[in-house]
Order: sequence, then structure tokens, then C-alpha cells
Amino acid sequence: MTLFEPVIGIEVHAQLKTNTKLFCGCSIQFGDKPNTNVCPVCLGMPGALPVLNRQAVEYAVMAGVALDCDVRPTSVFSRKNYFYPDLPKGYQISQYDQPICLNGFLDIVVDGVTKRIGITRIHMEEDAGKLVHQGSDTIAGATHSHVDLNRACTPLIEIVSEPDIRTAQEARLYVEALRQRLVYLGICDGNMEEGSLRADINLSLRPVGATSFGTRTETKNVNSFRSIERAIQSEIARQTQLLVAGERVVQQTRQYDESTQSTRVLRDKEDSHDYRYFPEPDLYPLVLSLDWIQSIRDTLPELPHAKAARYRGAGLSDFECDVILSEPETSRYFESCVSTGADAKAAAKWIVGDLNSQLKELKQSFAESKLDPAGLVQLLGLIDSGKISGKMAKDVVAQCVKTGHAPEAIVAASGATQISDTSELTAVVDRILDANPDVVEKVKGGKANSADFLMGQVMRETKGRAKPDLVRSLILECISRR
Amino acid sequence: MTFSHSDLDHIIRLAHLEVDSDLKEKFLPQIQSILGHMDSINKFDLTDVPAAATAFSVEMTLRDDVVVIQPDLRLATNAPSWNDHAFVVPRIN
Amino acid sequence: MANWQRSAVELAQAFRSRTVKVVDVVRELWAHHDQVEPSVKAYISTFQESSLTQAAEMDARFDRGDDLPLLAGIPIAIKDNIHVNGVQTTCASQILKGFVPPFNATVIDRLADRHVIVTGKTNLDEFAMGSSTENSSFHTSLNPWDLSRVPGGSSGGSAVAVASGQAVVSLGSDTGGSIRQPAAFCGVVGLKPTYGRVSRYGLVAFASSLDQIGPFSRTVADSALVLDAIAGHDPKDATSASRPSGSFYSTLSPTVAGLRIGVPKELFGPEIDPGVKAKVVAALDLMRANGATWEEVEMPSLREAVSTYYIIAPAEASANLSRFDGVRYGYRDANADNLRDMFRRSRGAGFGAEVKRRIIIGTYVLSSGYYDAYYTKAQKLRSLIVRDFAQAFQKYDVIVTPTAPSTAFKLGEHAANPLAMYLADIATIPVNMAGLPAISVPCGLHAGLPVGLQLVGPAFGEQQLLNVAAGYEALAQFSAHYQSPIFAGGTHA
Repeated sequence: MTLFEPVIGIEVHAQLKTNTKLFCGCSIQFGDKPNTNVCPVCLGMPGALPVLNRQAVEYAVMAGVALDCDVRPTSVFSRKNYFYPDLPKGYQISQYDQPICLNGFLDIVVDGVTKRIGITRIHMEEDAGKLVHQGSDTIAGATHSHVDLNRACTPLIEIVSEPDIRTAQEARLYVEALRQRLVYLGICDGNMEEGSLRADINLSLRPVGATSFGTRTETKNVNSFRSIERAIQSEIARQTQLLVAGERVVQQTRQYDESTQSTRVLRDKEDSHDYRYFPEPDLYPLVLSLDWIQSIRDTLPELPHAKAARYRGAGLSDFECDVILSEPETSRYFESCVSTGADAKAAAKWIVGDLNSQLKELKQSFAESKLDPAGLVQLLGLIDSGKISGKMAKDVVAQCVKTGHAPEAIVAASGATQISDTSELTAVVDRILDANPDVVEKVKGGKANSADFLMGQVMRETKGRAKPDLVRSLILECISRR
Repeated sequence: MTFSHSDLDHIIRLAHLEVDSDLKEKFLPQIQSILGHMDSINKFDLTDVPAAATAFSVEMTLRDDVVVIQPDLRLATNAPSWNDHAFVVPRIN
Repeated sequence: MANWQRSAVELAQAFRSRTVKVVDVVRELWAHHDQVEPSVKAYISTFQESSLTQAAEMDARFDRGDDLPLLAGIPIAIKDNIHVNGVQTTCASQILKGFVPPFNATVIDRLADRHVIVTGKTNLDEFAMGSSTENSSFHTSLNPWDLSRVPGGSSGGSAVAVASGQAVVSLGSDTGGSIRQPAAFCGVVGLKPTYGRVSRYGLVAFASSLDQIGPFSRTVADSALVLDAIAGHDPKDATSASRPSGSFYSTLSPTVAGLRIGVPKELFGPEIDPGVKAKVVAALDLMRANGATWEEVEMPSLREAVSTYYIIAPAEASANLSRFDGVRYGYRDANADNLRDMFRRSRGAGFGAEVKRRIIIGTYVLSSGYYDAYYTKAQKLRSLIVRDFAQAFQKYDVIVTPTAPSTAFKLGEHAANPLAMYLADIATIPVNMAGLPAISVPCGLHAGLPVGLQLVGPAFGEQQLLNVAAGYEALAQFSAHYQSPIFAGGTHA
């Protein structure tokens, strides 16, 4: 019996895939030597001033449009004040009461049922730098810390969901769908290991049927889909235990710990910051023309859910859609095949099956595949024309992917084209039938399985090159004539 | 709503300052007085008056998304503590 | 007349005709400096060697007949909150001692393009917070008219440098009157441009929505010349305006006849010293006698501007000064063994009392529960001030006030009561709140001390403002009449 209903809202921070930081011309390249992608602005030097990155604004608007938000013609930047070594100015430039987007939604499919998750707002803000603790693995034992400001001022959008999520599964699906949409827009690389996408989970419990909210906790920086599920499950369990025992849930900020697969306290409400938000005086309000917002809407890349609808219309299964849409490179590959004439279902079968497993083994993406869309289309043509069998094609794919040679070249080199000449095959079938009169009798007697044996013999005789369905029909035809 | 001793202590903490007790004693009435002057503004009807963060708005300059390489920033020489190309700070707690 | 007593315009002519060499001007200036600086202490750091090298280079180019900008070879002092690459910027604070900026302020780049000769960095109230330069953590600068009195602030050092003949022109910054009030106290010309007219990139921020950099000079033409150099859109400052600039000097045209002048009642009453008011009235009457008209106008919001300013400016400053945390530059307490202590002790030791007081006020008015009561209200009053000025400029071409309610006060006079110090800015603060341009020019002496006349123009109306100031200058000849004893005599009074 479920006493309590989880009420979950998720805040996702996504790093925008611009060339430079939000307020200065420093590169946002990941992994460079500490404090080399810095300048007076992102170092928070006195006398430096922020200047807004136009591309970041465009990406934020694209996100808003793609999530069906109301993109605000006027939005205002605000200072969020607190002291920390990774925050050079002692304040973060963010957006507070007038964010760039409001009131959107994202639909997810949970066990076949569509559920709409509301999006309260999207705002732009700068990222903080990195603090690397020395002398220990945890903050608690560290003797000192190193501050690296390469990441400081990286452009972020924060996407805040309504508290519409009810289960760990829904949460995971939501973040997956959100990530996919941002990656398809080309505005975020979605790399959760590198921190390009981070989630904060707000969770409270309330009695089933209640309408008011319970006390919520916030679990920060959950950085993989699995962690999202586990953090939620662990927090639901923890809060349930407290409430069942008659205790209160304390409003606090928690942190997910992979080693225990549970959450632990980061700070209590008493330590919570008073951010003293006020409008950023170094930046005027951001004013966007309605025409410009419309042009973004008009030129938005096609989104995964729209693609999925198109693919299903062309006969692809849900599973095939999922695999093809899992990465933009895969769907680009698929669409490229179709646009150069391939049959959608045939292309999908090979992409989702053999090509996918071959590339996985080589740890390559579809963009890196040595068998390019033109090549796959060629391969499909060879199968269609009967030149090679499906079984043979599997080997060809494997070889193309490894060597980069075109399918036709590989088939030609092996000399192993499919035999589909009727007279040639009939001769072979007759020979096999002659050699196996007792089996022929069995087939005549109604034992269809015995035909398989004869089939096997013909295939062996032709070194696998005989067109299988043709062989089968010839066997039956020749037997009926005997 | 008078600014009190505990307000003063709280704000000093929030602003990460240190103020010796003599100075705190001096500050308290001074700050109370400055804040008190704001009451004279109540004679104006401010209901329909917009809050102006700036005197006027001009169209804000935006930046092109092009990398700008920096010359020597004197990080090491200005840094109070510098090691392994990073700013070193004492432990958090 | 000594060379360093000449205006920039005069020196420019003399350099080109080769009647005066740059090197001679600079040498004489330093000789005079050696004599007078111990008395007035305008500077925090000086660049004697480099200035002589640059002077020699300039002479070579003048000898060659190179076509050089008018400011070439002119000695200019820079307030020590404006960055000069490679030279320490202290903001007169212990917390920034030793900090060497790795970049020029944009205004310095623009002046460097015109081959000015920077003489040094001048003294100021710590982080530009103050009206007397007594809040400098190094030393107080003294008024060249009377060494027992303050030069005004916060740009006291820059005002003194010009008024004592240690620079031909100088740069200051003005947030609530920090150029105009010391200009008035020291008997020189001080201009605060329209907000956004001059880039703030490289100016250490005090109150971001109010700060502007502007020139001190002894003549209006020199002021226009420097404004031409420093004004103009800067892509590194998102609040800088895209307005045509660069011809304020060349189109300077003294104007008085036909001028409609408004004088706010709120700044012409008992809050103004009668001696000061008398000089201002005399200046107004002089202009009236030459074709201008003047009358009093009501601008009720102006009376509350000071209280509003002391909410808004500290609020912005409290955030602007958060970056001084001992992590990346400046002073760090060496004994703190944890982070919070490091922050608190470094800032505790590094900031002076006035700075702390303002950070506390600013943090409080932004804090949870108080934002609407103070900050929002103050921003609403700013709208009223903007509106009052806009209405006034529909009727008048220029608004005139005394620059300050008194002449220079004695050192230590306001030490016990900082609030009295704040009231020194009643006439200048409203101008910053409305973002308007204003210039202070000397209009007389009262009890031997200079009185400043403030002229305020509409936004981006610097040309007309300078024209009017030049018009008054033509009538009053103030640069000839009002020279501090240290300037005139070359020795201290």
C-alpha cells in the first residue's frame, strides 16, 4: 500500500556549445591546462566588464522554442551574490525575476502513455570555475584547494521543470528526452561525464490524494541517468521512513554519493544563502525583436519527436526509432540513406542491426563509420538485385566498416556474388536430388523438414552463394517433377 | 524596522567582513540614520512609478562568438598563492 | 608664465611652432612638483623617468613635422582607480596594494593613441567613496588654496594635480560628484560626461549605474579636448553608448545669449552657504546681462536624491567589492587556515571604515526582506529624478546650481559625522542619478576659497554644455582670475 506520492521537479543545467564564454572571448574548450582560458572579465579583475555573447542568446532562444516556451522579448540579468573561491566576482550573473523563457513543456512516453512535464522557466547564467581539493578525496579532509577558472563564465541555460514528475523512471525519461532535444538542436553536447549536462532534483512526499506540497529536499549535481534514478529512489525511501516514523523531513540540500548510492546532507536551511538578487547594472535589459524570435522558430532543426513520427509513418518500429534517434549522427546517417534512394525499412534494419553492432565494437559513431550512407545504399542495391544474399551482406558490412572499401569492390574482390541464375541452380539441385533419392522420397511423403537437408547440401555445394529462396522453390519444383 | 545590533552582526557575516567593536558602535547609529532618511521618500506617491535600474536604456552591445587570445595576465605575480598554474586557497572548513 | 601653467591648447600650439619643447615642459613640471608636492600630496605614484623618455620621443616627432593629435606631449595625471597596464592600481586601498593590472583602461588606450604623457596616478578616497580624499588609506591630499582644508573628493588628487600645476589636465571618476565637487573646491574645471559617453572598462567599479570618467582642466577648451579623446562607444563596455563623438573641441562655440537657464529651488535654499549662493547669483546675473535668462524651477525629487543615492550606490558597491576576497589578487591574510576566515580577515584588514560602512549598508538594503523597502523605493525615486530633469529640459537649455553647498571644509571637520559629509553632494548626486552630463567651473572666491558653478545639460548634450561653459568662461575669464597660491606662486602658501 502506497501511503505517499513523490512530487519531483528537476532543474537541468546545460552548457551551451558556443565557441566562447558568456561574457568574454575566452574559449570554453574542456580539458585545457588550468587558468589558460581566462581573461580579466572571467577572472573577476577590478575594472573588467561583462559583454553578452550573441550566439549564447540564440541558443537559449532555440531551447525555448524547442520546449514550447514563451520566449520573452525583454529579459533581465541579475546578480546572485555569494562568496566562494570558484566564483571570482563574488556574484554570479544570472537571471532572476525576468528570465528569457517561461511556461513550456516536454512530453515523455512512460510505458506507452504520453505524459506532459511542464517547464516553468529557462534562464541564462554563467558557470563557476572548478575547485580541486588537495590532500584528500573529499572536502572534509582537504588541506587546501586549487582554483581553476577555465570553466568560469561558461554559458549555461537552466531549465526548471514543474513538479510534475512522480517516479524515478519518469525523471530519467524526462532528462533523457530533454538531453536528446538539446543535442538535436546542436546547442549542447549532452556529455554528462564532462558536466555539460547536470541535474538537481527537488523531491518531496505527500499523502496520496493531497494537493499541498510536503517539505522538499534538493539533491545537487546528479550526473548520470542511473544516478538520477538511484538518487530519487534512495531519497523517496529516506523521506518515507522519516514520515512513517512520525518525524519531519528537514528542508536541506543534499548530494548524491555513487559509492553508497544514496544522498547525504550538503547543507541545512540555516546555512542557506541570502543571494540578494538585484538587476545587473553592467548589462541593460536584453531586448529581442519578435521578428528575430520568429526567424529562430522558422529555422529550428527538426526535433527528435517529429522525426520519430515521420519514421514511424515510413514503417519503422518504435525500437528502430529509438535506436536511430539516440544520437543525431545516427539519424543523420539514416536520413542520408533514405534521401539517396534507399528503402527506409531496409536501411533501418541494417543500421539498427549489423552496422550498429559493428560500430559499437570499433567504438565508432555513425559519423565516423567507414561505411558511409552512400556505401550502405550501394549494399542495399546489391541485395535487392540478388547479387548477394542477406547472409553474405553481413560479411560485407563487417569488411566495409573495417577497411573503408566500397561494398561493390569488396564483393568483386571476393568473387563471391550470389548465384541466382535459374538454369545454373537447377543443374546443382538436380545433382543433389540425384544423390539423395531417399530424402526426395521423404519430402514427397510430406516431410517438409527434409527439404532443409537438401537446401543445406545445395548451399554447401555452391559455397553459400546460391540465392536461398530461389533454391528452395527449385528444390520443390524439381521434386514435384520427379 | 530599525537596524539593530544583530542586524549589524548578521550583515557583517553575510558580507564576509570583520569590524572591530569600536567601529561597530560608531556604525550603528550612523547606519540607522542613513536608512531612516529613506522614510522621507514616503511622501511621494510611488505606486505607478517604475523602478529604474538605470537612468535610461540604450541598445545593449552584444559580442560575436569569436575567441580572443589574451596576452600575459600577470596571474602568478598578482596571486597571493599560486601553484601548478592554479590559485591556492586554504581548506573550506 | 611657466610652461606648466599653460593650457593644453596653448602648449599644443607652442609644440608645433617649436617655441616650446615637450621635454622642457615636463622637466619644469617635475621641478615644480618637487617644490610643491610635499605640501599638497596629490600623487600616489609618479612616472618621472618614463615621462621624460616619452617627452624626448615627442620632441623628435614634432621636429620631424609629424602630424600629431592636439594632446600629444601633454602631461596628464590619472586617478588611481583607472588602470594603466603594468603600473599598480591601488584605489587608495590596502586591499589592492601591489596589484598590477595586465591591461589599460580603454580611456588610457585612447589617450595613448594621442601620445599624451601620463605623469602618475593620483590620490583618491578609498574606492572612490568619499567627498574629501580623507578616506585614502595612504595619505590625504591638501587643497592648494588652503593647506588646512580638503581638496574635495573622491578625485581629490586629480583636482589638486591640476590646481597646483602638477599636471596640465587630469582624469577623475564621478559617481555622486567626485569630479565636480573637488573641481569646485580647488577652483578648476571638472566635467562628468553623460552616463555611457565614456567607457568604464578599466575603471574599478564603485556604483556601476552611476560611475563615469571625466577630465579636470583649467579651461573649457582643454576639457573638450580630453573629452574628444576619451569619449565614444567601446565594445568592451556594454553600457557605453553609440553616439558620434570627437568634435567637441573643434565645434566649441561660446554661447550665452538666448540661453534659458533653470535653477532648482531645492538646491538654492538654506542648505547652501550664503557666500556660495551669492557667487552663483553673480554668475547667473553676468549671463543674464549678456542675453541669457534665468529663473528658479521646482524639482521636488532632488531633495531626496542624497538619501536615495546612499541606498543605490552602496548596494551596487557591496557587490562590486565582493571580488576582493584575497583569492586571485590583492591582500590576503596569511594566517587564516580556513577559507571563511581568509575571506573575513583579508577584507577586514584590507578595507577602510568608510568602505566597510557602505558595504554594510549596501548588503543590508539588498538583503532578504528589505529589498522592496529600500532598494526598490530608491530606484523608483530615480525615475522621479529622471522625470523632473526631463520636464525641466523642456523649458530650459541648461540647469544651473552651485556645485557644492559650501567651499572647501577643514580637514577632519566631518570626521565625527560622515552624514554631514554626504550632504556635500546634494547638488551633484541628482545628476548622476539621471545620468546627465554636468560641468563645474569656478565662479568666484568666497573668503578666499573657490566657489563652483555647476551647469547640467540633457543626456548626450555635451556640445551645448561645453558651449555654455565656454560662453561663461569668455565673460568671467576664470582661469586667469582664479589660480591657487601654489599654482600662481610656485611655492606653498
